[in-house]
Amino acid sequence: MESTPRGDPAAVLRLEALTVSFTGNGGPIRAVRGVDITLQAASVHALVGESGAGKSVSAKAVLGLLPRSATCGGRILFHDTDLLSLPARSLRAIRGKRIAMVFQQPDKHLNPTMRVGSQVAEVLRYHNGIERREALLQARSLLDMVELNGREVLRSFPHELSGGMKQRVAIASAIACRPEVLIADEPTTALDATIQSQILALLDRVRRELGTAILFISHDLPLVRGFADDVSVLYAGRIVEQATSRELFSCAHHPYTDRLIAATPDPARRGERLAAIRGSVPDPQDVPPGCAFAPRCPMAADRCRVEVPLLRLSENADVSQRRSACHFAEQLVCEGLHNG
Amino acid sequence: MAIIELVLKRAGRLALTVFLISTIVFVTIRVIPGDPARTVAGMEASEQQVRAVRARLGTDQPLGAQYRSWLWASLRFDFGTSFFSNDRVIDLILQRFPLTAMLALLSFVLALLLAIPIGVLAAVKRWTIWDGLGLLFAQVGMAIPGFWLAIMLLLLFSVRLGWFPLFGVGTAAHWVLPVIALATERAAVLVRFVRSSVTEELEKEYVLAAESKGFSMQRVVFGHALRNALLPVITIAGIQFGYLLGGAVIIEQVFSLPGLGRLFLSAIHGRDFPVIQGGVVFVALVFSVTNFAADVLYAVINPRIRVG
Repeated sequence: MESTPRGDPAAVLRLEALTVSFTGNGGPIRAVRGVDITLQAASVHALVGESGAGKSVSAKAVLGLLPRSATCGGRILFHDTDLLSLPARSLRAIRGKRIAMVFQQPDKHLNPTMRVGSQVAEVLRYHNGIERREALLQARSLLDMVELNGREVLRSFPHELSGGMKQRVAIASAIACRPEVLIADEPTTALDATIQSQILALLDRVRRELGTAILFISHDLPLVRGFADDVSVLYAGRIVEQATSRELFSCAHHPYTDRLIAATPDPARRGERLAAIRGSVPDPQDVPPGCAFAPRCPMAADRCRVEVPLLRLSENADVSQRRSACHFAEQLVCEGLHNG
Repeated sequence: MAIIELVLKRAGRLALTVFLISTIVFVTIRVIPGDPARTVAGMEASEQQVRAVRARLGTDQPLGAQYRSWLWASLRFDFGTSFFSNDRVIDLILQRFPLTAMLALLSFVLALLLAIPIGVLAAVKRWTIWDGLGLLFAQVGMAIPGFWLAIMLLLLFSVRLGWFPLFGVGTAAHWVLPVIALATERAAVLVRFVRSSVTEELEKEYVLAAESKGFSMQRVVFGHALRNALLPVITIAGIQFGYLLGGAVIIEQVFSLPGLGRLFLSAIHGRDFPVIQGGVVFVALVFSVTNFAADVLYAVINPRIRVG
């Protein structure tokens, strides 16, 4: 799917210049430092980065789930409503009904003393005012929809289910009200590889059948290949590259993206050393001036250490709408850097 | 763990506890100074008369023999007869137990009714004035001895204001002050447990997940966090009930209530061995059974133990 300009009616969720900072002991911790993301209806937008890049914080900001020590700036537009300026009551009416969330650890995010059926039914009862019996019936078909045996699982407690099954339950309760947006915060990270792909396939089905747009958060760039329509790569609270999945994986336009792709095992190049990224993510209280990635970047020049590179459209004519926040985006030659 | 296994294990522990307590009390009351035969026979009795009384009471027997015969009889709930009144000990106890049990039970209910709302409020409104007031209640409640509070309540509400009867039993009004005096300290202890338990649950991920579903604060706290937070409180509450039985013995004295307290105190005074022994074993049994019930209740309510 092509990126579309602002104001496009197909955009369900837009983060505009989103900033999030936390009050810390040594001054404010700026976890998100200006992020723009457009989530198109019925599409998957992947938000990728290392831990501490600000992915989860951005996601939680959308639903107002950040602790009180967090301050948000910018705008989070759901259709034309700015969620950041919405009163708590109105935001709660959207949460779980029109924008739902699935979390990383299914065994911790379900209530351990509540039966699975009740947990799914609760959302329907609360938001749609459906009475108990009817809600449980609907919960059962939702559990069937996420490929569980609804009749069996309905009366189970979470601890009786495997991790993958629990994540399916979490998805069932998230999609109960047929939300327009589903925020999936590393939903497969805690699961086995085979279960991972099943959950991805399930989320893809949800997108196709319910038309739910998915903001998919992951630290695993290759995982989102073939699943996400658009990808935003986050580094130290800023987007360093934004493109359609196809474009991004065909050729990185930012050295960080390039290193992320190179740092993953490629069956075609077995036996070679993996190209790990040297150094680590900067301390959010002490982000270097200029490009935050410069200290770890093989291409860094003097300019990178002084001037913050803006996220901008590429000047290369052949690339349509993709954006990169690298001073030298145009000079990146995919093959060359990959092998170097 | 299967529930049967748990019940058997706890029942075994219960039996062991009661056995140890009975042994300790048997030895202790015979080691401390004071001869019941002297009390029974009277101050003017001759040494010979006293010896005759000793033989009748059986306290002239070797300790081991006394212990064996008492233990065998106790197994059949036969705690012997009082040295002074010839009443069966078990009758004396059962006669007075309902009042003590009622006092403990009412105080238990009041303690929970106070502790759960205050603890929840303190946890939800953490680091606010509400939390501060809750902690203040806990601090003050634990610092004030129950008997002192009982006397103060008596002085203020019965003597000065005349709202409640001074002592005795009969009407509902008679229960009010003793129950408040007894419940306050337990409530104070429980407030801290409820507060920390709810605080702990509120920080768990499933609470965030419940919030992400758009549920109101009340729904998140009462529908999700509280049911998990109260699980560990059940065990603590069981132990607190035991304390209530002990506390009731003292509070009964202040309000002149004819419960177990008065029976035990006069028995200790007169070195009435059978009543002391029987009483302690009885209270130990009630205490153990309560804790046992709390453990089983916990297991029944907690789905992770019930099935896993």
